[in-house]
Amino acid sequence: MKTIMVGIGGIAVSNKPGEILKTMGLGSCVGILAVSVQKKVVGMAHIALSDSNMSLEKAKSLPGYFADTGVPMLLNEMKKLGINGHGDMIIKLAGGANVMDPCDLFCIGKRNVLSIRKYLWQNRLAPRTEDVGGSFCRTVWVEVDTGKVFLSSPGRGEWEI
Amino acid sequence: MKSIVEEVKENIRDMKPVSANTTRIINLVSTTDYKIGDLLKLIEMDVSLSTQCLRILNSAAYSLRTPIMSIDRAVSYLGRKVILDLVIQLGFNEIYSVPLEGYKGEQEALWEHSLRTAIASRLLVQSSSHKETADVAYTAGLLHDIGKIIISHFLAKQPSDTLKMFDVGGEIDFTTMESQMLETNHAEVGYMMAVHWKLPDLLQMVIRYHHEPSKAPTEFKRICFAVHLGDILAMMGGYGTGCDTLAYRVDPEFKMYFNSEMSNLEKLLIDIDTEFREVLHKTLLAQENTDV
Repeated sequence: MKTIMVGIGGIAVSNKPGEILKTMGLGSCVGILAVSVQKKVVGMAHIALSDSNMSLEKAKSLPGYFADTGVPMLLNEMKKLGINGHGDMIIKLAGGANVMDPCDLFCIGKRNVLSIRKYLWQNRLAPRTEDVGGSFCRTVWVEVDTGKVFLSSPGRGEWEI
Repeated sequence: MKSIVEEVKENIRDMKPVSANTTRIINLVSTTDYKIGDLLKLIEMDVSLSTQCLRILNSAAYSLRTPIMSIDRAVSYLGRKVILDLVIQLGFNEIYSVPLEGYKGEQEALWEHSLRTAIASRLLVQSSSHKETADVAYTAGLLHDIGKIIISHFLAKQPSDTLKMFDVGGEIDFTTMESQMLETNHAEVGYMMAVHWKLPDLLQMVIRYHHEPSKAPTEFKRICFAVHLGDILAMMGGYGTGCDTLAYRVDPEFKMYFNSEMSNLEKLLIDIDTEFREVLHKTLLAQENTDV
């Protein structure tokens, strides 16, 4: 098994048997998992913020950093491996956690999830499963061979979504 | 039978003392108007620190054409932030070099979280009208979580389903859980350590009140709020210390001190991430040919 690490703002796709795509430290960031079980192709993006207008420079160097640039790029990378969107793959989301904020001013996680859903809908896609929110960080990984998506969090163990 | 607080006090007494020179440097940089010449003198007195400064500066991270061998040039080249990182990493090696077992934290988690908190706290202060305390906020950010090193031992002895049992992140925050379970928490223990090592009053207060800055004495509130928010921003970026990441409450009184600075939260998060990546990149390059 070879594990490809995806950093903040990173995008990766794979169709190589035995490979795993993994991203760690999802706080308010959101991991998008694109999975085609049938064709054994998986993809992942580690989205940090919703809107690339915040920093076009950052968006240029790391398109996966923002939902509006990251979602289309992930779908495009999947397309290069023969996955053509609606009906060909399922989408799962993980992360988007928030600190315990009574004023709801720090809810970047929530904003990220909403924004990602919007850009998925524009491409006629919707998340099949979401493990988002709460006040804890997540690590997420997806296997090429099975298309299975797993999560872990310190002190909370491991689970599949 | 000894109480946990008594055991904590014993643990603090048993820890390797922080060197007198480290304490002197921290005291110096915790003032807002220190002279670089005074910092130079203290670094030159510390063989281990001055050697590490020169080794890092002459590593691949800085790509110098000719090696620099004098401390004054090294300090002006590396800048005060890198020097502070070194002072604290070397001076508190016992704290930052071990994983926080009780928090289920990775080896480097506490250092990386502290560094990101320091960067965030400094950027926040720098964007306010109190820029003169930006370096102080950085030092405080580096040290705010030192109490976790001791609390970690006691958390490690608790049942594995503790988080679920207390509904941490739902009903209660992590500091409250620590207090209910252990009769103390990492902020209080960190404060006891800071008092024991005679760190400046300001750092003692930041360490003690970084989760409840509205309870801090008035003269320290602003800096306590800076580190409180810096800590939260670090965790939001995915850099926490383990199972406690994000399970803390925002103190709503922050609006009295940093309301306009927090209005562009996304931009602040990008700046923090950019600077943090640069620092980590240089550290990795420096580690290729030094043993820091």
